[in-house]
Amino acid sequence: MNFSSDKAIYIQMAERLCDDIIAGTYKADDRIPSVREYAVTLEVNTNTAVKAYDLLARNEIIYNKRGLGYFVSPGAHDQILVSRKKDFINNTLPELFRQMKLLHVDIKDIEEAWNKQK
Amino acid sequence: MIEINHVAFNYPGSSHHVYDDLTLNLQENCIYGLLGKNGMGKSTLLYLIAGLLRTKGGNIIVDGKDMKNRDPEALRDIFIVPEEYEMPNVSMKQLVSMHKMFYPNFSEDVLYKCLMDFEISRNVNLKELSMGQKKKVYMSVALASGTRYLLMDEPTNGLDIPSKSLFRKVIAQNMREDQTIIISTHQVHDVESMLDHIIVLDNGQILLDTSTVNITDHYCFSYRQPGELDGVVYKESSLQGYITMSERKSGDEETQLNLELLFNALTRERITLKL
Amino acid sequence: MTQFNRNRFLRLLKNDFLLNKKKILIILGVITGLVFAIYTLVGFGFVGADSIAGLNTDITKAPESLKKFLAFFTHENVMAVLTAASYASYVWGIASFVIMTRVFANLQDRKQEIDFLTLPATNLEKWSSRVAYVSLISLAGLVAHSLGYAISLLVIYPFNSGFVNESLALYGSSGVLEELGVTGFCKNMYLPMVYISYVGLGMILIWAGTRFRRNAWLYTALWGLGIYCALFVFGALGMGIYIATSGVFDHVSDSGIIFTEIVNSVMRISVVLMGLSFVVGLVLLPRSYKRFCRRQLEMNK
Repeated sequence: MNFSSDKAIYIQMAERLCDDIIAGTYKADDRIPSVREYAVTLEVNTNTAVKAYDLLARNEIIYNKRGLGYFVSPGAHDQILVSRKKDFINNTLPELFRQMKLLHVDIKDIEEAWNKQK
Repeated sequence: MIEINHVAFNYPGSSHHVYDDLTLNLQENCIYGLLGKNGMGKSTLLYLIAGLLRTKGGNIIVDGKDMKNRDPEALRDIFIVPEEYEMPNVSMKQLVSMHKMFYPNFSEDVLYKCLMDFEISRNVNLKELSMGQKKKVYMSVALASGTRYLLMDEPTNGLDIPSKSLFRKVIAQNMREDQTIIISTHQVHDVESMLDHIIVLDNGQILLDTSTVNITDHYCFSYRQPGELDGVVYKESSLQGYITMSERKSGDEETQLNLELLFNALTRERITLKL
Repeated sequence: MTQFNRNRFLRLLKNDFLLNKKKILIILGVITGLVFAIYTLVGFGFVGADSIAGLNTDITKAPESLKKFLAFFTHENVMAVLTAASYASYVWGIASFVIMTRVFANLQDRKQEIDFLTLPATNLEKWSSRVAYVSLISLAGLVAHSLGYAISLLVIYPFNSGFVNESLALYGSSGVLEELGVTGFCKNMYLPMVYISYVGLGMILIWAGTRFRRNAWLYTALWGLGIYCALFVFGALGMGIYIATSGVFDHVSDSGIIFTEIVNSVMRISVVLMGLSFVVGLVLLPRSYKRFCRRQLEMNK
């Protein structure tokens, strides 16, 4: 499993799980793999997976049912979408606009490309 | 809990003492890695725990029962998967019925799920299996028995590479939360990601007995270039430079545990860890 | 001490039968076949049964007490039946010997040993299930023997009904013993004592099977041979010395009486030995159990 070196591995694991939730692989109240299963799938130490799950549970993306495992919270999908959108607008967009200014890319060029790929 | 108290052991007829005064405690709900080079007495320890060997001194107590009596109450909670396995001349169904009655928590659902995960048909002819497949079948029976303690002796020996990864998945998916698994192996890399707690044995001595969390709290494993080697306690050459084990300073990001490197550091250079 | 759980005991027994059903059928088949072959070969006269060699077969000239003996043995078919029976008894004897000493042959294979010793059952349940297992197979061997015998009689009858009739008449040894002039206590007790000695021998063989880890039948046979030779030598020596020094036969001139005396002495000694085997067996059986409890895996690494 290849992880980038800029972010802590457990954070990347948590984001990977969120990707799956947005994509619909795990819907609301679906059971997600156990900590061990996920650790083994991504070939990381179990305690790293534990930290990832703790992070997600703290943010209420997933919840734990004793003896049964972890499940996707009902509002998780929307919650992730909202927070990712926020991150997009606050972090990705400014960088995009900076590039556009540098390269003299107009908003109309963007719109054209957008319509083409629809 | 498994208590190993001042155990001394040597094989009958041999003067070589495998253990002189071994004391170890194994807690519940954990996956233990019993690591050591070949011939270091790892299998011996597993067989001692299972009551297959008798201590010459000291005792082994599993959940309060002394294993030398081979009480069914104690045996019911232990299942050992030996390194090599020969299938008896029976059908799968008969194999199940032969074990089911003795292990009250036996679950056929778990068995068939494991077989499916291992990609083995439940109607397979047991006599026609390869060595690796026989191991997988027996491992599935072991997981299905639902015993509190699962002892595995070199489980990945004889498995091809895809099967080793399957092995990890099957264990992770089918073990219960209240189970304790003890894996004895010298193929350190195969079981790296599964382990919660590491015990390293060398010549009957315990070189290390700690959790993986504790190790990654105090030590980092990373690639370094020559010139960046301060704080490094052990290193090995590799294509990307040196692969190193160094003391972790507070504020440093935690790294993944490189068990092979740690093992080599302990056994080749006898590093003492500060944990 | 855990209670003896009958269900676990029975399940262990069932497991053994399941694992070995092919082998068991083969053994029983071989026993039946061999016994059948022996009786048939003798019954059809392919294998000759000679009268007692060297003895003067002119009965009228023999001493009174020996007349009965000679008449019995030269009677038609008696020797044939006795020959067949004695050879056939080797079949079950040897089979039983090997079977009983294999009481813990299941532990010869390492993997099976691990399985058996770690199975959640008490040592007593495991030990007694194996003892019961080999004993039952041994008894089944006896049934197989009788089957071979019965089938052979059916086959022989149309061709040699005398053989069959004599055989049935001699069934059970009291007829033979009477003809030999064995009296009273020995005659009545002989058969029961034989059965008791079988049990005793069985117990001794079980102990031997536990004592020797591998190829128990071989070591037991060698030890048995050794003990037998020793007993024979000392027994014959002892008897010779006794007869010579005590002068018990000095006054007797009739060879017939000597003969009856010898036969009776031999019978008495046999009965004592048979009883002894039972007692020895009783002592050794619990030792077999204790030895099993102490059993460990053998490591060859």
